[in-house]
Amino acid sequence: MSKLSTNHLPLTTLRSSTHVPININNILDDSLLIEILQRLPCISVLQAKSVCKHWFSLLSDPHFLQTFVRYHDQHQLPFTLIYEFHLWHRHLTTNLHHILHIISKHDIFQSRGFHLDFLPCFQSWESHPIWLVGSYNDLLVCCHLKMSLLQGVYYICNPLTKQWLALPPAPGHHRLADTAIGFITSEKSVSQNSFKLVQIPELDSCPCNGYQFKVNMFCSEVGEWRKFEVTSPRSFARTWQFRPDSVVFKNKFHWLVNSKNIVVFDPSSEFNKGECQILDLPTELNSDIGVCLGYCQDYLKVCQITRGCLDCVLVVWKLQDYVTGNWDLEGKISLHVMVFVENVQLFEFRFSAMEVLAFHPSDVGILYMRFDNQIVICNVGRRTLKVVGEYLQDSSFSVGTCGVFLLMHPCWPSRIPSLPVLNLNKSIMSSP
Amino acid sequence: MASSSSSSLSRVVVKSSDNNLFVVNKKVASQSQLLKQCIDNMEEKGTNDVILIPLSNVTSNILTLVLEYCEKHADFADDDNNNQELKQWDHEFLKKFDYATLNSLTMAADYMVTKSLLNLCCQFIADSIKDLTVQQIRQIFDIKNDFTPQEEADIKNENAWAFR
Repeated sequence: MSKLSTNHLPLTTLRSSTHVPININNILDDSLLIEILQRLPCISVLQAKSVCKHWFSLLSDPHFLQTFVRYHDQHQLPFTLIYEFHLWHRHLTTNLHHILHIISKHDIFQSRGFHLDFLPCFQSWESHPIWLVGSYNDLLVCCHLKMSLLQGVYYICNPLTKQWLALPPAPGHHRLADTAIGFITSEKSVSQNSFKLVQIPELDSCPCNGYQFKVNMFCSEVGEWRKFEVTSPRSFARTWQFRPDSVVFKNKFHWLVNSKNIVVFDPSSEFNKGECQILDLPTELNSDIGVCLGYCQDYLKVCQITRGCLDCVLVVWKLQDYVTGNWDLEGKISLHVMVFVENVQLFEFRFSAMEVLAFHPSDVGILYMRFDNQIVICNVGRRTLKVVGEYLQDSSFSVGTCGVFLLMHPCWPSRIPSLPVLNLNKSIMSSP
Repeated sequence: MASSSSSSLSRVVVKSSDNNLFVVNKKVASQSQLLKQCIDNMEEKGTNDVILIPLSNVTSNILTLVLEYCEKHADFADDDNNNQELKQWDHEFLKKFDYATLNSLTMAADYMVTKSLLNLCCQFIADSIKDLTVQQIRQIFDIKNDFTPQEEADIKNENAWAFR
């Protein structure tokens, strides 16, 4: 059969550019316009709202947001790691600097940088530091300490959209360093979410089985702090390794309280019925050196770098079973078999400090580490190490890790829910 | 007009809104679900005549382009959809057109139920406008700004982070 060509058919001037422009709104019906506009990135959609009234109403419709979210791939989300640390001069004890170092896969943070200067409490990092205390999805929780250091104000913010919310003061006065904090959001629909902030003022040590400790919880749907008690099934002692922020995994908070135990708390088991769970770390871990707790894909993981006189070994364990608390050794690798790409001079491993900062949230083979003053990506599969951030050249400064926070960026940034307006009498009564 | 000697049709005639006739072979026409449906219906009835399908919404200019696309894709119909050569061809194909033509092509692809062309056009338009300013978008799509300055400022303020 001969192939039929359409070329011989009447062809007018359609490929010339001398056409008369025709309003797209008159050519394409709304469903086709949406078909096009849903493919834009979020930032372009928000800009396109100001094109004309018709686009504004199309793009403001909750139906559009549903279509948009359905269209965009939510599996490989870009993420941002925030490394919060202290720098101090080895000889001048007064000169303490509080610094954030950002590693971001989000194009807006890459092009514009990452800033928290939109927060009303922001003055400078040196004078009144804002401490990061939690993160979930793309929302971050900061604590601004007043002079006394005992009373802090919590801010929930979205660093991308610069939306923020200050919470009413938590009941009581507690040192932030003694407080365990957990933050989680949940989505009711695409445009509606809620959050919970949990504060355990003295997750200090639990002397005996059946010990109860106080929990303050702020739930955005309630709009005020509520107190309740949680029972610990076993005793544990908290040590210097403790960091107030939790690892949120499978909707539960996980605090590494010492070199042997993880306290697990499910914030949905509210009000007096609460019981926490204690998980034991693998006994094979060296309890004298730091452990990194995190998750990757569907597993809670811990890892550690142990140093012998000739070698540095990275071990990674994953939790197989929540109920029995069984851990599996996932990998053990000598860092000396790995190659520094681009910085060959570092191969001798003459570092005074080496620690794992975080797991890649979805790539099993990738870990973020700190070697002295450098942040290094460790690719276990390829056996490579790559320096991604160097924050100090001057060796007279020391670095102290405060926390590592992960932000996952969905295709449409999360809104911070507004709080319910409380009945005046009620809020007076419930205030401490 | 040609007629088939076999029991099924090999060609159809498609009529544009401005009354031009296009002879299209079946494999090419089948890239459009609308045309394919018409052909299947006729074949079920056992018609051996060449059938005429009028497309009241598509001008001959645009129909020519849709058929050019269908012809190319019919050639690759047995390949997997990830053919690099075809992807390259798709991109070169759309690159030639102005926005008015792209919009009409999108509408025609939707009307003729040519899903892959529809996706291609929408993605192409979205990619080409995503970095444009609001003013540039109005210009290329011939859209009149019907906001008052205050209204426009309010919308920008509401999502200030997106504007810079």
